[in-house]
Amino acid sequence: MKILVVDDFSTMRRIVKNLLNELGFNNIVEADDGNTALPILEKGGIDFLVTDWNMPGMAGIDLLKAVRAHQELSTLPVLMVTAEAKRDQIMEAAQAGVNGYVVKPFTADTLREKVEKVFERLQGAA
Amino acid sequence: MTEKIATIRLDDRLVGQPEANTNLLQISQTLVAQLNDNDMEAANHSIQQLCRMHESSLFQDIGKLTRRLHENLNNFSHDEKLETLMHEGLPDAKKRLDYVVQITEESAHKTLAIVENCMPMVKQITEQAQGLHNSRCTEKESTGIKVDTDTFLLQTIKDGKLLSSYLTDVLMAQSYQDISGQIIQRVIKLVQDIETSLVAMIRTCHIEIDDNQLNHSVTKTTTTKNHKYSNNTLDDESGNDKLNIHGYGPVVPGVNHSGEKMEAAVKQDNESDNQILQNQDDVDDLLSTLGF
Repeated sequence: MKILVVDDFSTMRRIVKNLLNELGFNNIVEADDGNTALPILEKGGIDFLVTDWNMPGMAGIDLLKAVRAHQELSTLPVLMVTAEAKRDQIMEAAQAGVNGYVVKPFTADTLREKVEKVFERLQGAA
Repeated sequence: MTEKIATIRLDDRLVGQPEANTNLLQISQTLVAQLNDNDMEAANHSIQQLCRMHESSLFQDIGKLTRRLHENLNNFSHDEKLETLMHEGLPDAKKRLDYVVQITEESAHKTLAIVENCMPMVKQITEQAQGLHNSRCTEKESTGIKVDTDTFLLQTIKDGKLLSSYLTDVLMAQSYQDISGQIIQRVIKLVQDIETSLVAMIRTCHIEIDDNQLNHSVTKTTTTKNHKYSNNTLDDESGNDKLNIHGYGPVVPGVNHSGEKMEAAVKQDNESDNQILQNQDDVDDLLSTLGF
């Protein structure tokens, strides 16, 4: 399982990376915004995307839309981890096809729960 | 220009004076007499005299306004407080905020590094204790030693798990750097916008500005490479719209994204699309209504 963590704050990438390590995911790559994340995704091999919303360059919501519009990436599970908490934003993310939404600041348990839920749902659908 | 204005101001002193009123009265009386005498040529001459007096009064008014504007602009350009604010205060505020972002980032990384060093150790100790405990349970040793060792191993396993949980808390506590960083960057953006507006206003007033100094202070900040909104320049007119495309940033207790009091905003936005959700439970509730 290879996971791409996208956040412009390196501290947050590191936190998410450590939490995912605790969950047993050790193959993690990082990107600092949508523009740097998309080529990594297009190269292939990423199984799960964890992205922030609010980033310079390409924002997380645009990355999500680009992923869903991409022929080979359209089914990639995406978890959004962001400080953006407006009702219309969450609805926009849901409509764009996000698999989970964690609002910052979050707890380790919340991230764990949402990651597990994403995979449970995917296994249920498969 | 200044001399001209000075002359106009000198003439201005005559306005409202008895001498000017006497002149007006005399010319008017002469005009009436000329019209009575049907002396149109002389009457025209008097009318022109009256018009000149009116024009003179108009010029005097314009002169006064021009003088006031000139003085205000001069005062504006010599306002040391404004100059200091633009050349020192605003760039200084940006530097300070950049520094805050930098040191909090360094501090967070330092703590994270410690946690990362501890975590494998804790994991190893816990796993070793667990392994030893499992293997010793199968050995037939004297009961006393076995009980002591088992007590120690069980305690180590318990402590290891607790320590691991504490370290995770330390790890999560560092997320303040992301939240505070985003908030600070919004203040930096605000300061830059004010600075840009001031520069544009001063340029409109044709006050000489050192372009190098401006480029240094207005263009993007470089303290850390992660800054979200440091890329606005003098040409950037999209301002707030640009922010909204990328999001609204973290929820700040007591303040909404427009800087208004949260209570009022919640009242207005309640149940609307712009309502700000306060925590993960609210987000989960909303998502569950959407089939999540």
